[in-house]
Parts: sequence; structure tokens; C-alpha cells
Amino acid sequence: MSDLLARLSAVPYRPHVVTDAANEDYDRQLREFVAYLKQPGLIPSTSDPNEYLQALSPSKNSLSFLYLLRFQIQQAQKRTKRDLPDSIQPGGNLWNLAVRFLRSFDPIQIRYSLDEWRQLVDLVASAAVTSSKAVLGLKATRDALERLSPSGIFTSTHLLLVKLALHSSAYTYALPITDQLLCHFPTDTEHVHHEYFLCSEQAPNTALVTDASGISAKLSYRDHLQYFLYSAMIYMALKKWTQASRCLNVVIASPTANAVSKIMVEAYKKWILANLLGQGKIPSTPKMISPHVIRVYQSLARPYISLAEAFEKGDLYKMSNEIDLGQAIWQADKNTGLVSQLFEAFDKFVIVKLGRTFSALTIADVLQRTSSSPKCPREIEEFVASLVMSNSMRASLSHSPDDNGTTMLRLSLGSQTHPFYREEHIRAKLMRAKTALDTIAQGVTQTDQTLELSQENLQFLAKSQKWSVSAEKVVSSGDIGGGDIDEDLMGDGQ
Amino acid sequence: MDLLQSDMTDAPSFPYATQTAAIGGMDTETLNGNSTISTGPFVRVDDPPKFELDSYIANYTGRTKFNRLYLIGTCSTYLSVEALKAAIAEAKSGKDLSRYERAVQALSEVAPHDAEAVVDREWAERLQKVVKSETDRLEHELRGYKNNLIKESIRMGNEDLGQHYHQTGDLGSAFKAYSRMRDFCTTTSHIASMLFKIITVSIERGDWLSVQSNVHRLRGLQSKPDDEHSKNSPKIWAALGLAQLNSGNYLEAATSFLATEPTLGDSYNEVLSSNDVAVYGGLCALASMDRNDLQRRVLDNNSFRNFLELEPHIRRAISFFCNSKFRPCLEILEAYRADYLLDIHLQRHVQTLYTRIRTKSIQQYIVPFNRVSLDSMANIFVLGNSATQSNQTDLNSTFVQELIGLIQDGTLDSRIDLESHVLVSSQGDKRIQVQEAALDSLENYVNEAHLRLIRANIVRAGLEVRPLADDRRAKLEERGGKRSAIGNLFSRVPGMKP
Amino acid sequence: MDLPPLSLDQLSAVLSTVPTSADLYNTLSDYEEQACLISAKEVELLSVFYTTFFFSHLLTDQIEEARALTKRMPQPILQTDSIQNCLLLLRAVWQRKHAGIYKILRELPWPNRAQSVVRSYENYFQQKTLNEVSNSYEAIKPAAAATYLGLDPALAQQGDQETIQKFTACGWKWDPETQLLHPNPVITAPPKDNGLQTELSRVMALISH
Repeated sequence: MSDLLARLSAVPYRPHVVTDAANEDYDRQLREFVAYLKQPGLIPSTSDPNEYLQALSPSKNSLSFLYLLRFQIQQAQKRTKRDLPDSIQPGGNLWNLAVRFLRSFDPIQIRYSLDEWRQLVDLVASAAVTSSKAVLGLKATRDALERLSPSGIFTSTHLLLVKLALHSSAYTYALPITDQLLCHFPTDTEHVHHEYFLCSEQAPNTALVTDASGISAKLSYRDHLQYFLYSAMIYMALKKWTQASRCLNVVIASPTANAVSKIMVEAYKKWILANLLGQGKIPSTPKMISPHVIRVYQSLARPYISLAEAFEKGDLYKMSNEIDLGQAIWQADKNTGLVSQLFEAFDKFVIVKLGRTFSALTIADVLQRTSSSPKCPREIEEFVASLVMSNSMRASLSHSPDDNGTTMLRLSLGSQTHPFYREEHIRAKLMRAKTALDTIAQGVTQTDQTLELSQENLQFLAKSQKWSVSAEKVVSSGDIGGGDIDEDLMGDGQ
Repeated sequence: MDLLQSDMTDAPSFPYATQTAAIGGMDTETLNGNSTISTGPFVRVDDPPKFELDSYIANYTGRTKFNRLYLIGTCSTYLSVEALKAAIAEAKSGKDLSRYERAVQALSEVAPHDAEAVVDREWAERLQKVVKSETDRLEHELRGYKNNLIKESIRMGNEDLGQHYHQTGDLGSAFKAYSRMRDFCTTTSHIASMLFKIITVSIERGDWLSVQSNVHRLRGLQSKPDDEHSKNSPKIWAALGLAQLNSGNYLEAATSFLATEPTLGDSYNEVLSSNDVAVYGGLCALASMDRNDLQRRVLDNNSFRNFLELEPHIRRAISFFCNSKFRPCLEILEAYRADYLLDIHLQRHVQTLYTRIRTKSIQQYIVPFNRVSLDSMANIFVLGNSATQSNQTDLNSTFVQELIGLIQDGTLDSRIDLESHVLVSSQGDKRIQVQEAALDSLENYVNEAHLRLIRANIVRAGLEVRPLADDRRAKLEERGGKRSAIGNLFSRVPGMKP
Repeated sequence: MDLPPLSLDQLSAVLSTVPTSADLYNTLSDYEEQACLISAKEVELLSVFYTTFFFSHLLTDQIEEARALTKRMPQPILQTDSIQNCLLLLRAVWQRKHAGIYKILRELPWPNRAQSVVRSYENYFQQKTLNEVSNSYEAIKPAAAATYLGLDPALAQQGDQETIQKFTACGWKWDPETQLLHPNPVITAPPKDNGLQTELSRVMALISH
């Protein structure tokens, strides 16, 4: 008994000096330890594993803790003949252990048992969802994923996370993960570079970006499309239009071979709306989308395109008309909430655009220039004031002394930021760009290494681009209903 | 030739080229019938023109005389009766029955009780017979020449027939007959005279493409300078300018008219007068050239000065523009608007040319200012009665609306300040603009780099969107293939089904 | 990092000890897990918790997420007066109805235990609005300014000395002739930073590679 405990709590020695030799040694020890843990019948079925679990530290003895916990969960499942026995439900004994583990495990050790780790995350998530406490699953998943820190690798857990966030309508909790730049996708390569060990802390770790590492369940193209679409939906729920549009860009510019996914079409529709709401116009689509894919988008998203045309032209009558005509479409696409926000965005951009023609005008003049919106001078003044005060436009207001005097709106040119904050603003932007570039540069280095950027590969890439051009068929991607959010965001505003 | 080529390269920079080309296209389309003026009046001009009809029309000979009279008669309410009566007299002296009938018809609409508003049946029937027999005779003669195979006779026969058709108003047949002369021309002067005839017919038909191509043929002929060349050259330039004007290529037209030698004199009166060259060339230049070019190529142009002396107000308008005196310049143009609207070739272009000159004036006017008061602008650009100018700087005034339009279409890089009633230049803080542009492009760069990296890795992981049945990864597993990633990538064949 | 169990007293303790609004939000989001596991029958505790948590969103300007919170809290709690007040407040904040916001904060019955967070939001909102008005208006009528800041517009319009003084205390200027207030823009000077140039050159170096 105590022998077993001693063996279980023996932690392989973690090298202080990171050399290849030390890493190799550590790698071997961890592999041997996992092999030991995997022996059937390691823990006598008569004994109470709880005792061991109490004795082990989830952060120091992460591997042992994980295997024991799983053993106990399996026991409980056998005992109750249920996939999710009460003790794994939120609040239960096993739940508490699992959550404690997911918040404190040693990410390096766990790399040798990623399959088991992932199954535990999935179990916790589904226990939370079935007991209608998805937000608990979301937080546990997020903490676990942050702790594992898979440096830019997309995994099935990422998709799980955004689904949980939409499901529980707790969007901000998912941001620490969705804000990270993803660059890598696990491949089915067995062509592992031997200069890297799983335990190597040098990021990015090429040994991790494989199916074999177990870092992710088997992926299909739907998974990453859904991940970016759902991430975008999270951002849209928080009205972070720029980020939403960036995620949607990834979906609509996803590489294709002989097919266009329905998810991409969904994303294109939302891409139009997000850009209208965020920028008041539709930017050009990313250059790498092949023309036939664009044609598919254009033919399947026609109502959205004519809606966008009316919006961009500033034609309120036509826009309202398009919105009325398309009610059934918006509803079927679950975009009613976004579409209903267009009215306010329309008013906003009409007024913001005045700044290009006028440097000063009265509120009465504003009313005249925007006569399409049925507002009284008082309402329009309040609306303009709210735009100015929320920094949506750079302008200032000035009341005139006489009682019925008009209010003057003075519009500044250029950026929406206050001149006094400009330097700070620029600095922040530069820092963001720098961080992103660092990540991308790393990603490129790693991709270079693993791809062994050779002429052959470049030719292959060129070829794969050509395939997508010749493709035509549209294939349904199956349902993406699972994590749909209630997008009626304006409910409160009306 | 060199000049022409440089004109061609100018063309793409011409912002309205396509727009006005469309108008030019419409010309040929609607006017391909027998006469340039077969369509109803284009505009109605109520203001009296400055010219004396008699002396104006005395500048012209040939068929253009009637065409011009008819246009004036149908467009000007002031001159209609006088012009149409002159047109009827002109038609009666010729052999074209249809234009006589049209003139009488038009007169009967404005002066139904006039004695001349009734068709002279007797004369008409007699003319019809004469024309018919003449046609038969000429065709018969031509057949005879053809049988005899005498080239010169065939050429002259076709020429006579073409002339006859032309005089009787059958422009299509005239064009064909003249074109048939080609094979029987033996000297360059024959060819030149044939081409001129074709050009004249084409101008009347409004077939500007044909005018241009035949002008090019003519110029190809003029290999060695001689008397005939110096006689033909101004006519060639003038015809080319006319074609370019009508196609809306105002800068090219200006260049052609500027190149027209003053020796033109009254040698091309069956098409246009030297006065017309001055007006057409001056207006096209004013609408399409900047102040430097206007000074250098128009005012300092010794040869063109001879034309401008005929129309001194055009010269004055151009010098006013060059000296930034925009109001007198625009006032002169406004004063002559009625005249130009009654010109057969300018009518359709007056509005475009005037708008362009006006827009250029406004642009020029604000160049030196950071801020310029709307009042001072209205003083210059709101023409007419100054009593109505009190509210010329309100949001609703036509002038402010015009400025808004110019700002919104990007012509003016300024903004309107309705508080101090000034126009403010937007060329404010270049530094901020540059910074923002740099930040934007940096962000775009980052986003695009990220997107490309993701795409490359998606392809590498075999996760491209593909038809459902064609999942590479599942397939490979079935086969249990044990290959390197690179091998796998290359084992794929498009369209391969499991 | 195990938290002490969530209770009314623990909530009060948190409220009185956390230094910033961001800390309050973070601590309460950790407690949300415990709140999820508490029986919905403990209406008072949950209602006070969710009210406080809701305000911590507003205090950190997370209005969209505040709305999301109202979508995920337990149904029975949603029906409590306190949370119903929160919904009214959310709507007013969303629509930027300043007068309404002050009225809701001041006049509606809030639970005693939430009073402190309600008051601190009132202060926060007033200060935030003061900054916004200062940066947006060059000249403003006293009545309008009073409405924005939750003061009595009628008094302000009469030129009430006390009210006017509140504005001049913020650095605003009062022009008795025109009866207009001239706000003083709130300027925060950018921190002196010599690092910007080096950062920039590093970014540029990355791009050129």
C-alpha cells in the first residue's frame, strides 16, 4: 500500500538546466512513468483510491493524480451504471477533485497524458451542461486550456470552449482563449522532429502539433470553421466588431478543395453584418479567397448583399424595405438580432459621415441632412450627443445662449481618438501589432521547420490552390445549431 | 502624328471620358438617319442670342446652312420664325425634299397662319420628278462607264452620283457612292478629295468614328508637304477636332483645334467657320486645361490668336480664368450660353463644358486658402442678381448644395463650416493622416500574414473544406498507410473518391 | 486559491476590502461558481450576489456582458425586485437616459447589502459622465449639464448659485451674461515614453524580414 503510494508520488526529476541530454532523460522518465501508470490492475480494486488522492498533489504529482482520478471516475461509473454519476456532477466529490486538478496540474507532465486530460475536460464540460450549469464547465475548461497553454495550436478543446460560452451566455470568460492568435493545426504526421521532446518548454513545440500527442480529438474541417465562427459570435455578442470580423475573415478565407462549407456561407452573412455594424461599410474580402468561392457567397447571400448596398448608399427607405422583405431569412439564419441593430448603426454612420463634408453645422442642419430618420430636433440632439460622448465621432457640441438657440456641432477630422490620447493610442496599437507579429513570426518559423520548406512543398501548395479554383460543388456542412446564441441583443434597447 | 499620340495617352486621365463618350455614342446612334437634326429639338432656348441671324448664317455654305437654320428655328423661341423661314428658302433652293417638308412642318407649329407654313405641292412634285430622273440618268451613265472600264470616268460617275445623293439628302447612298470611288482614284489629290467628301457626309450623319478614321487616312496621304497639303491641313485638324468634341474628348478636341492653321479662313464653310474653331477650341481648352497650359498653349499661341481675334470674348474669358478672375470669366460664358446652345455642334456639350469650367474655377479659387468665406465665394460664383444673395450661404441654397455635391464626389478636398460660414481645407494635419495610414497598413499586414499562416497550416493538416465523402484523413486511416506527412500530401489526387 | 464560502457576510467583507472595481469584478466572477451551486431557494443571498455582480460589470463598463449575466442567472432570482431593478437600470444605461439612470439608482429600493455598490456606481457614473460632457461640450446650458450629472435642472436653469458652484468646482467656467457653462476638457497627458521609438523600429524590423 505505502509502496504504491511512494511509487505514485515519486515525481520524475525535472532538469534545471535545459540541455538536449537532460530533456531526453526527462522525456524517457516521463514516458516510463506513464507506462507504469497504465498497467492494468495497478490499483487494487479493494483499496480506497480516495486516500491516495488526498495524499497526492495535483500540481506536483499531476500524472498520478490524473490516473487515479480517472480510475475513481470509472469505478463510480461502473457502480452507478451511469456515464455521469452524481459525484461527478457539479458540487460532487469527484467534480471538486477534477476542477481542482484542472486548475493546478503541471502542464509539462500532462503533455504525456493529453488524451486522458482531454477526456477529463470533456467529462467535466458535459457534466456541467447536463446539470444546466454550463458556465461552470466553461470556466473549468478555460482555466485548464490556459494552464496547458498550447501556444497557438488549435484543438478540439478550443471548440468545446466557445460552444460552452455561447451555451451559457457568458462571453467574457472565453476571451482569454479567443483573443490568442491560433496558427497551428495538429497534423497526422509521424514525421516528428527528434530535436524536440514533448517536455521541451521551448515554444513552439513541434512535437505537440501532431495527432499522436493527443492534444486534440480527431479534427475535421468543420471544427476550425465552427471555432472561428463561434468566436466571432462571442465577439458580436460583446459588440467587438473588429475582432468578430477578423475571426469571420478566417472562416470565409478558409482553404477549400472542391467544396464550400455551409459554415463559410453563414460566416459570410455575418461578416457583412458585422462590418456594417462596426465600420458602416463592407471592406473588400481577403485576397486569397478564390473567385468561385466568392461567387458561391454572392449567390447564397444575396439578400444580405442588397441590404448592405442600401446601407452603404445611405438609403434608409430601401434598407427598411430590404429588412422587412428578408424577415424570414434573418430569422432562419438566426441573424434577426444583428439585423435589428442596423437601424441604429445606420443613423450613427449617417451622422459620422457628415464629418467628411462639414466642419460645423447646427443640429437643425443635421436633422435636415438626415431627414430620412423620423426624429425631432431634441431626439437628434440627444443621439448626436451620445455619439460624441461615447467617442464614436470626434466632435464637440456647443449650446447657444438664447433660449431657443440652436446647438452647434463642430466636427474634427480624422481619427476618433481624442488628440490628447493620440500618442497613447498609437503606442497601444503598435504594441498589439508587435505582439501579433511575434506570434506570427514564431508560427512561420515552426511551420518552416515542420514543412521543411522545400520546393516540393511549395509546388504542392500552389497545386492545392488550383484545386480550389476548379471546385464548384456546395456541400452542406451539417448542423451548426448546437451552440447558437440568442442574438436578440437589442431587446433591452427598445 | 506625334501630337495625336500624345493626346491619346492623355485620354485615360480624363475623368469624364467614359461618361461623355456615352453621350457621343448616343449621337451616332440617334443621328444615323438622313440628317443630324432628324430628332426633335434637344433644348429650348428662350433668351435672345447675341448674333445676327443673317450675318451668322452667311458664314456657311452647303447643307450645314439649312441644318443650322433648322436647329435655331426649332430650339430658339426668339428666332424660330425668322430662322425657319430662312430654312424654307434655303431648302427650296436645293434638291432635298424632306428637309423642305420638315422646315414647313416646324414653321406650321410656331406660326400656323403664315403663308409659308403650307407645303408648296406643285414645287414638291416637280422636284420629286427632277430628282428621280436625275438619279436614273446618273446611274445609267455610271453603268455605261463601268462597261467601258475607264477608271477616271467611273470615279467621276460615282462622284456625280454621290454628290447628287448628298444634295437630295440621301446620306447613306451618298456615303456608299463616295466610298466606291476609292478603287478608281489614280492620284493622291483624287483620294484626298474623295476622303473629304466622305468626311463631310459623315459629319452630317454624326458618324464620328468614320470621321476620325478618314481623317487618319487623309493624314497618311500627306507624305510630302506641298500646296495641297497646306490647303488641306487646317481642314483635317478642324474635322478631327469636331469628331473629338462630339465624342466628349475635350482635351483632344482642344489640341486639334489649337493645331488648326489660321489659313483655314472660310475654306471649310460647308462644315464650320473660323469663328467656330475659336469658340470650340477655346471652350474645350477652358474645360480641360490647367492655367499654365491655357496660358502657354492658348493665349501665347500665335497661330490660334488669329482665331481668337474673331471671338474676342473667348479670349477674354480665358485670360480672366488665367488671372483668377472667375466671376467675369463665368459671366462671359453665361452671356453666350444662348448662342452656344443654338450651335449645331456645341448644343449637347454646353452644359458639360460649362459645369466643368465652373468646377475648375471653384477648385482653383480655393487653392490658396485654408479657409475661405462662403460669402466671398458666393459673390463670385453665384451669378445673376445680387439681391437674392442674402441667403446664399444657407444649407439649402443652391450654391451650398453644389459645394456639398462637389465635396461628396471628391472634387473638393474641403469641408463646410456652417457656423462661421467658411469653406475649410481638409489638408490639415498631414502627419496624423500619414500616421493613421501607416497604422492601418500595419494592421492589415498583420491580419493578412496571420490569415496566410493559418491557411498554410490548415492545408498542411489536411483540413481544407472538401466534399463529405472525400475526407482524406478518414481514408488514410482505413488504409492504415504509414507515410510521412509529405508523402501523404502528395498522395492526394483531386477528385479521387474512396 | 480556495475561496471562503459565499455568504451574505462574506459578500459584505469582499465589498469592503477589494481595492478597485476590476478586483471586485474578478473576485465576484470567481464566486459565480459557488453561486451556481447554491440552491435557488436561498433567494436573498443569490439576489444580493447577482445584484452586486451585475453592478461590478457596470463599474467596469462591461454593459454587454452585464446583459449576458441577466440571461444566465437562475430564473427565480430574476424575479426578485432587486434584479428587476437591475434590468431597468440596464435598459436606461443602454439607452443612455441619464435622468432615468439617476432616478433608478436613487429612488428604487435596493437591498441594504447592495447599497454601497449602488452608491459607488452612482459616483462612478456621475464622474464618467462629467468627463464625457467636459470633453464633448464647449458650451452647455446649466439645465442640460444638470440633467447629465443628476442635479436638479430646474434649479440650474434659474442660475442657482449652489448648483453652478458644483460645476465651477470641476474647473468649468460660468458666463453669467450668456447663462452658459464652459466645460474644461479633461486632459490626461500621455506618459513620457522613450521606448516608443525602439518598439517601432523593432516592429519595422520584423516586417522587413
